[in-house]
Amino acid sequence: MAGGTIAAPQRFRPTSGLLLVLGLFLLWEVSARTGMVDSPNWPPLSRVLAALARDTASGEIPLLVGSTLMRMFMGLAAGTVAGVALGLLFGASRFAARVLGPTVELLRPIPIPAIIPPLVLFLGLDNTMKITIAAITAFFPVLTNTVQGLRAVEADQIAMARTFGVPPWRRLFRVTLPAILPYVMAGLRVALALALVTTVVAEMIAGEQGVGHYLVLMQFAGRAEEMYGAVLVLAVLGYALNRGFLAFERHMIGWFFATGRDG
Amino acid sequence: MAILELEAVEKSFPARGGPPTLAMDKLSISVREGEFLSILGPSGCGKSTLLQIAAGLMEPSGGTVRVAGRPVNGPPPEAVYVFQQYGRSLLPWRSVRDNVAFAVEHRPGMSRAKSRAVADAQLEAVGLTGFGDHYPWQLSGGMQQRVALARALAAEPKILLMDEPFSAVDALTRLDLHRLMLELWEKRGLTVVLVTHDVEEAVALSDRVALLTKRPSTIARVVETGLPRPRDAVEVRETPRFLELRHELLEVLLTRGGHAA
Ligand SMILES: Nc1ncnc2c1ncn2[C@@H]1O[C@H](COP(=O)(O)OP(=O)(O)O)[C@@H](O)[C@H]1O
Ligand SMILES: [Mg+2]
Repeated sequence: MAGGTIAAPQRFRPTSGLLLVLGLFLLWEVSARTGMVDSPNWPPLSRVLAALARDTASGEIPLLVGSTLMRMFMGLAAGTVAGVALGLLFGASRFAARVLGPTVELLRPIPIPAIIPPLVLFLGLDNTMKITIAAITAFFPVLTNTVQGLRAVEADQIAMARTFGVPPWRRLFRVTLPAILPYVMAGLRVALALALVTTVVAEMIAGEQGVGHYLVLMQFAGRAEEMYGAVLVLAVLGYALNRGFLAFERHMIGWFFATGRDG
Repeated sequence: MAILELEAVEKSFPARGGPPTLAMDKLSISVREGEFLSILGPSGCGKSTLLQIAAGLMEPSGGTVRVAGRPVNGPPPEAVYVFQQYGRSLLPWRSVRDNVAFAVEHRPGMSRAKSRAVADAQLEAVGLTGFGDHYPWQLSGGMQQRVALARALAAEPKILLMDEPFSAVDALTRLDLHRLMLELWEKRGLTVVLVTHDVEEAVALSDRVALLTKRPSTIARVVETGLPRPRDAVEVRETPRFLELRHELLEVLLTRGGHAA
């Protein structure tokens, strides 16, 4: 599944920014070939790409990317649900916000990689720990934006649903949640970029899974070509995820941009 | 027969660092079934508060509200409240048709096809045939107000509670909406309570006009217009009775109930 993402042909416009990227790739190739940088740890780009093509064709890279993405998305989904749920609770109950708010604010600034070692002790090295890391990554920005979104919900829209006799649970799903969706999506966009980082870091630190672990493994093995290949894959992945999300967002909340509420 | 009764209704709002401010003081009024009643008063006198209490959207601090003889606690099924700022009460993520369908789609036995058919019929009634697939923000203010009206009608209420529904549109659109309002009221046998600060609008549309005092508001007087039915919302403005009523009500508003100036 992820192989498609990587190999997907990108439609580029020949802009000057792209020319710089190509120039840097060229510099990479030339500096490695001519001995400007003479090191076994600096292979030319062409050999990195050749190794990458080989491991992609063999299915190894797609499998690694797929497993990393799967953990990341499962975590994002769990963290988003938890963030929205707690945000709704904060919105519904001042008491809950007062009691739980300070704890949330205290936990939020902890760098997420710092909780990987203690989390390993509780959840082990494998999926559960890494999905939890991605979930925590998504949780905070989604929570913040949910609370912010609830403040922006039009009181008239809720009252309108009441005057038509729409029951509370239906008001939640048909008015409140659609109304805060743009805010949740904005939180999720932040979370998506962060979650790729934290998921890969978690894989690098613990266990034997995913692109993160592969990256560290290749470094220890002194296989520079594969190592750079993994870095390139992550760069493309991060870019593609962001672009994909932007398109998804336009599709889901086009009304929000059309009504100029985004700015 | 009274379909909506307010009896000694009071409302006070909590004020920061002081005693609560009284916005409404022992207000009583009885709305007859099938009548078109306007409640007239200057801005800030408590018109929205009054209407929201009648709609069961706001709790009074004292007194009782009855709809069809039953005390109101929560929005009664007979009444629908139409918001002052129509743009804000429409759901921007729903098409015009689905906005109207929202009024009924939660009801038991209402399939999606059925609620959309209801919506299309109401859109036709307000002159918006063919706009079902548009989004509210693609329409003009007057058209958005028609959508809000269609949505209210879809619920088939006995009572329409309208909060300055025509105050945010231009004068020509307003007259257009007045005609539509009279047509719908006549056809459907609705009871309409319309809140407004526009004397001409109140007189042109209503059977009775209730004047509110300044805050804390209460009913200053109730005037029977005695204007003929059926009536044309534009032509009625040229009758002597209309001019007489306009003069009388403006006089009261400007001397007693109106702004400080
Ligand atoms: N939620 C509220 N809290 C405090 N004061 C309010 C609130 N709602 C309305 N008021 C006050 O009550 C008075 C009547 O308001 P409102 O009913 O909106 O007037 P109108 O609709 O006639 O312009 C105003 O003076 C307003 O400041
Ligand atoms: Mg008002």
